[in-house]
Amino acid sequence: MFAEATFSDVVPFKAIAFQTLYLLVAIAIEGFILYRYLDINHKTAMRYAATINLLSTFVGWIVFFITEAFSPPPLESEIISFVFFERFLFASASASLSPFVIFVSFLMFIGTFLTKWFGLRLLEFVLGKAPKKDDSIAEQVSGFRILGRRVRGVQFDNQANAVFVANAASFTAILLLIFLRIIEPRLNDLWN
Amino acid sequence: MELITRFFATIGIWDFIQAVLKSIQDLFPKTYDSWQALVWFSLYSWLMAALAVDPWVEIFISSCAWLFLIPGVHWAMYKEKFLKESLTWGGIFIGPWITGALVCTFLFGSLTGRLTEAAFILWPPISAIIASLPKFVKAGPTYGFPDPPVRQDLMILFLVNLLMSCWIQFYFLTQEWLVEYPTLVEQNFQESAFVVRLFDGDGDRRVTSRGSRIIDEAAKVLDRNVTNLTWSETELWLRDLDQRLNVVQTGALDKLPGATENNLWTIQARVLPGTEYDVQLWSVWNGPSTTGIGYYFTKTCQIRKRLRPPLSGLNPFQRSPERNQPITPEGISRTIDNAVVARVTCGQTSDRMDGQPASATTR
Repeated sequence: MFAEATFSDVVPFKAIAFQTLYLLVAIAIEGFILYRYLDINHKTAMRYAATINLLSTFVGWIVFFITEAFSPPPLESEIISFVFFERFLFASASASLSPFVIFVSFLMFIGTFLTKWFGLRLLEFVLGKAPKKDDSIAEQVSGFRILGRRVRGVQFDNQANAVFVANAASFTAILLLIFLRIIEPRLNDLWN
Repeated sequence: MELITRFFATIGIWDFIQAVLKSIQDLFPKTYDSWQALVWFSLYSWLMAALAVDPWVEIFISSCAWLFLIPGVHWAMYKEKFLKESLTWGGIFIGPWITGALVCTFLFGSLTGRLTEAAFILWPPISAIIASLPKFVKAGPTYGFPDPPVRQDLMILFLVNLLMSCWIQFYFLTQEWLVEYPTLVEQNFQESAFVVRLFDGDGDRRVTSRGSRIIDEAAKVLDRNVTNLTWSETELWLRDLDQRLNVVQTGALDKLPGATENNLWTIQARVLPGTEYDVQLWSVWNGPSTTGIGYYFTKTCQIRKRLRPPLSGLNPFQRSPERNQPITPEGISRTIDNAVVARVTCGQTSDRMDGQPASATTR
């Protein structure tokens, strides 16, 4: 960080453009879902969605920087290959890599959900709004019977439920966008 | 003439000149508690710093200059209506980011002696702090936390700036990669979803590939090791070619500037069957590439017999230790063997070829 700044004409403008796009889509979708699930007005919902998405993006970058700094050379090569060439090293290796990629994607989903949930609670605390205790819907969703005994699942309050659904929806939308981006050149090849 | 005057009048050039003159007049301080005074103090300090001989005195005085300049510029951007209006883009006053840039240049450029990455990475958060400071001042004036709606805006402001800081950090990370993996620069980044190349973005960059430089160096190592070996020594050397490759590879890579990527280059070689002896060399890139399967360069070196060049006028068949020995059949064959040595000539390096060489010895 305190190294002398070096420059070249290779700049991550695409990363910035795509991240901005994904953030706008995610904020729009999550804002709408928070508005429907929580007892807040439209503007507040959008601001909440913006805050928790920016927070989870920031936390994601920090996790990425730390992982990169401590990654062994083979993993670093894979990261570089993905960043510069949009592929993993060697066709044979990518097959064995896909469980790893799926696992990382799953961790990302859980990680962003927890970050956003925590972020929303933190935000309400900072804004001086104590979370309401009585809007828990845990009884409806998480109790079910196994072998005649009542098993209590994870206690999901309304807020966590809203964030979970919002996160799932925005992940789906972003995945669709990424998928479109991947198949778009191939579709062009088909039509031409 | 009248036409020109009317033309200038229509575009308001006289008003403009008057405004310029007025603003030049404004540059001179009328009182001591004005931004103009601070900027003039700063200029004066810089003049003094330039005259200073002792480096520590110079650093001290130029720091003073920065400490006058930063509040001076900040003050001017808030005070002067013209500046404030032209610096408000889309409802956001960007003045704090200019002050932030000056603060970062001072802290992580001027004081450290060279412009560090920190100056860029910390620019957005420091600017956000500067932008949010007035919100913590209440009428009175006292300090306190702002109202909840303002707090919400401030949180978004900080998070956006932290995100920008991450983008800048990511930029520097890619620069670090390009230094540690110089072979990346040879390829095009068109497929990338992260980076773009601003100049000649299409196609590979026209540079001498590291791969062809490595294979040239490997050929030189081969040349140095084999030339003037006797023919039987040469055959022995080539028989253990697979073990010798380590030496060739480290010898070749040592000639190039060290980089993290060096262990992603391998040298492969084999003796072409049916020749006495043609050695084909490969330099193989196993690192990240556009195709994902790496690429290689190849070059063939011919190792041929020749008579040992005469040294200091000696007959090539006459080696000094054996001069006085009686002539025996073994002695003659040894002398002939000693007289025939290897000579290495290498061909052109091939173009870059995608994939891995099919017929190279695997190591």
